[in-house]
Amino acid sequence: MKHRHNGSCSRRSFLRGCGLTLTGFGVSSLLPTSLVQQAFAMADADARLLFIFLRGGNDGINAVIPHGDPDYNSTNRPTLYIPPAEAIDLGNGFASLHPALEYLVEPYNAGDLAVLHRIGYHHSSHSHFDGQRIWENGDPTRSKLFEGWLYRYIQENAMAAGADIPVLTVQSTPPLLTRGDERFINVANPDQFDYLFPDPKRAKFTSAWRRRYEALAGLEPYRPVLSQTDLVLTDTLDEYASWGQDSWHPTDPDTGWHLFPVSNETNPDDPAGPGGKKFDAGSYPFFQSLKLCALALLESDPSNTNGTRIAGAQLDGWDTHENQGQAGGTQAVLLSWLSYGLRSLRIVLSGAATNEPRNYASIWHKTAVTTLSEFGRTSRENGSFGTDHANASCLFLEGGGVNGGVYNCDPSTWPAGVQFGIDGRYLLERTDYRAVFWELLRDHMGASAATVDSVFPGYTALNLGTQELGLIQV
Amino acid sequence: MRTPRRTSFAALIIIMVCAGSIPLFAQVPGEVTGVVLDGSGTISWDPAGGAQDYNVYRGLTSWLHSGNPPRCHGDEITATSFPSPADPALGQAFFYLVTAEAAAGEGTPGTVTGGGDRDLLGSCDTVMRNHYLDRLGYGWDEWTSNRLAALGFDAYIDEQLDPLSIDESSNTVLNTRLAPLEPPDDHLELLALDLVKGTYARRQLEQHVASFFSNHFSTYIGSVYQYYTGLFPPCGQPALPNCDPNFPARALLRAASDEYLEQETFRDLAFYGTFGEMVEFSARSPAMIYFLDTFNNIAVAPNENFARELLELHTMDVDTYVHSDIEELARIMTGWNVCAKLTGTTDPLDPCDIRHWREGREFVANFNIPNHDCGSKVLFAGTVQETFIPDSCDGVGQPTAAGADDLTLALDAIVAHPATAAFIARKLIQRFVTENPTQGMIDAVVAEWNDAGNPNGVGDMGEVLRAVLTLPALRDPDRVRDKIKTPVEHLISAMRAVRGKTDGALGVINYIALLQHIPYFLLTPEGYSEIGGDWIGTNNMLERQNFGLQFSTHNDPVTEPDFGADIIPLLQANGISTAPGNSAAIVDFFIDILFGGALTPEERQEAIDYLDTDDNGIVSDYDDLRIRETVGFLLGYAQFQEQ
Repeated sequence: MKHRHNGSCSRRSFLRGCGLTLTGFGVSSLLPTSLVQQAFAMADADARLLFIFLRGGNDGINAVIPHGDPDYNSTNRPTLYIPPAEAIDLGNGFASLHPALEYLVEPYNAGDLAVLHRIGYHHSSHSHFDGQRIWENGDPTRSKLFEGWLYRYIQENAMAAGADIPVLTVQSTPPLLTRGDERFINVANPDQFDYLFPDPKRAKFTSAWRRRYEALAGLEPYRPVLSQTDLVLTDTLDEYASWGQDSWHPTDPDTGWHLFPVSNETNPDDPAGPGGKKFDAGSYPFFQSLKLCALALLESDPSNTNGTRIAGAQLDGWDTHENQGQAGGTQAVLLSWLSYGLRSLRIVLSGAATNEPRNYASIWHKTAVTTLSEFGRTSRENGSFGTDHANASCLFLEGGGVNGGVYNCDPSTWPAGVQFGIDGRYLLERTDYRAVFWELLRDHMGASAATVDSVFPGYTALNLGTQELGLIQV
Repeated sequence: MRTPRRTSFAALIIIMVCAGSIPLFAQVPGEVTGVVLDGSGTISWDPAGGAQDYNVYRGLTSWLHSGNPPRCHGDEITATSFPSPADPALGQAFFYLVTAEAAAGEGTPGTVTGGGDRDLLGSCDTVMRNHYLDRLGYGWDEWTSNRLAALGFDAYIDEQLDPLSIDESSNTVLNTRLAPLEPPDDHLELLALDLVKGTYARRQLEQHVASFFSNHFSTYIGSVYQYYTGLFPPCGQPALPNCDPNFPARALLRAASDEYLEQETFRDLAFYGTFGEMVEFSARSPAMIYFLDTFNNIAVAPNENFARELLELHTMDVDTYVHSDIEELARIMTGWNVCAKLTGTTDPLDPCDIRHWREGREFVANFNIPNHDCGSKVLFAGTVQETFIPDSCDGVGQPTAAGADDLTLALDAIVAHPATAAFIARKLIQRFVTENPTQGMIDAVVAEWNDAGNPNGVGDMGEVLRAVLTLPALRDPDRVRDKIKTPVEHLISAMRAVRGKTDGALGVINYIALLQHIPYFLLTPEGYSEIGGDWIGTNNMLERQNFGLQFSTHNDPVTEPDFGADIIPLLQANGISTAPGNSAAIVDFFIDILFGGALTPEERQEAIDYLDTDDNGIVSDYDDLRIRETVGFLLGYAQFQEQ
């Protein structure tokens, strides 16, 4: 039950001899062979990356709380202020976590979680749409560029060459982060990512369509990507089906809870929670997307061949202009999903989950999980018990090879006044987001140092390297 | 025009000539000769006898090897020369074919060695017909195709631009489908309305434009619903005065009604009003006031949400204003909220009756004086557009009713800002003409926008639309299929083309969710993308193909009157036999209506083979179900995702 396409390449030979047809529109096919091989040799083909985009603009100041800064107070944030006693002390005498981030304590104490603050860029956009594009395209000077920095990394380092499903994202439409001239697999409805009609009819139309899409020609701007998208879809469905994501329900070895609640049956009981459950049913799509991302990365163990190295998901709803809430409320609910999810990922990617007979080996030591969000929010509360668009925010990065700890939220990196350091309203950034992600690509994913200015245009000229934080154990 | 269809035309003409009923001048012209290309890229040819006009086809020389025919490049050229724009890419060359055309039909593009006409990627006539129907509406169907043929392009546009002139009273299927839906009682009926109107309405442009502006001024129905569930809670113990014994029916009705009001107002203003009126309406629309937090925006601490999105998304575009404009606009908007008032009340200063809502009350915009910041404001400070809005405080600095005028003054200034006309013109051109508008195109539309002599004055949307739709680029064959259909466009166009049946719910509504394109349900305010590339992905590919196969193979009139397609009756009505042995004619019929004839010989043969083989690839006689499945197969081609 593997690939059904009737091409001249068997599945195995397709991966080797015919691999370029899959990535035929990528940069790799345009480069001289020697350059491809050089780049390929440098990338760490075994490293994995999982990203979670928090869309809407996460209020970093209430997520990672600068309790050491007297400007964080109930005058500036009357209904949002969380006193130190209710927050989770991060042990550096300055920073605390929002109480809804309780599940981050475990990875943090294990040294696997880096809690970053004051991440942003100079002249941050306050538009969601430009801001998200800038975080995803990696170039603040070109807010209308529709090509992701992660896409460029994949191309420049030939990450996708020879892999069945090198990249898998789970969200409504393909994220810009992994978008460019070609598309990778994006799954919007994990429970029905297949054709409705079974074989042999399914084989009949998929192979006929595959022939037509492969031969698709013409001058039209979208034909190359339409062609490539159909081929990658056709060549993926059997692999995807073989994962059986709907029957994989890993649980917590200590509590027995499901690590990814995707239904009422898998949602832990909690008398104090919504409907007597731990999480609102609105969380299920998010947890399902994390589950699928984790499964894809686990399935890419060298004993398998699909090669998923990069997976991505998103969580909407962070645009808390009104009723943002304090220890409970809109932001708290989202933070609780995020923190439970980050903890679950660590357990499952470490091979420590129970109730899953597949016994995946740990890949935690070669995996990094990062969050992104387009901006932070105003340091002062608005009149609707919420916050408006602002500049720098916090970021979470976890993984077996991450240098855990707190970055940019201690007395030496958080001088007085920074909360209102821009226009008297916004938190001043200290580290450019590109410095964080380039470190991640270079030191964790094995990106070739020579590709830095292709992935993040202007990185060298802007001296962004001086802002790097040393986030990865090298 | 491909060989089999040309053969049938030729046969028809011979019969008519034999009957002595056809004058000589109505004969199909012969092959065009003397075609030459000069050094400046202008192609010219000898006049052909009886020709009314000429079509120019162009292909890359590399296509000659791959068997891809040339495509329409110049449509209805009346001269005997044509300046062919654009040079080929380095290392490539173009080849050209010219045909002559008369009322009786299009002349031969020449024959190939061994006989038979040269292949074309569809004739210009059918390719451009489908192009116009795709761009001016939701694609080919029998009524619009006949109407376009009868009126010609210019008159067809004029008619579509005056939707009230198009008779829908005789459109039985539309009226039957609409009867249970209009006005909508809930969100599902609201969605069904769009699908039914898109599928069956003759006023295709109207539905398209109404959806465009509803999406442009997007409001999330869930935030409206949430507000009304607070006002109309379930009837518990003790029962609250406004409780809803059928909870949440009343909240659903109110939310759907607010969204419906938006779309119906845009539907009207887009053809018979101005853009300024649209913005004035939208800013005071209850759905928008809930969605972007205007109802929470008060003098002591303004909320910037609506102010920012009004400037960025609804009017001027990002980076055309500065932060102080957002702050000032947020102050201007302070005090506005929604409450129940006597039906027919339009003055935002009339008293609210919210605590005792009952029949005869409507939820409308309200100006709550004490919450307004009555100080003076300045928009676009230091620019040519600087606008001063005077203080509306009383003698002791307290807000007054005069503050309600701030909003009108501000919206007038924003709508009059040149950035607004340019932004809306650009977005309309992207929607209807090309995703990469030139400055010249934008300037042409903006000039029409600024013409105070138009019937509704500056910003007359009917005339702005006319300027967009009469841009020469819309008639440029080189731009055919350079856009991707949105998911909703894809679903509706499929149903229109093959006598699809939909009540707007069963089956179809499932797919707008699977395809991630559910109008009124976008949580964020930017609206769904009009740019095709944003929709291309593995999920959209899969579910568009699934939809085509699923709905085309359903047709039971008894058990499925509301989902499926009357494909067999469509063939029969057009004289195409569904008996075995007619696969080429059946496939050609659908290639004509689905793609304007524009498939390559290999793409056509793939469909014929599909029809001629069973599930295991064994050649066998087809039945009706396999014909329908073959239509579903054709709907899964890349070309059907394009427009």
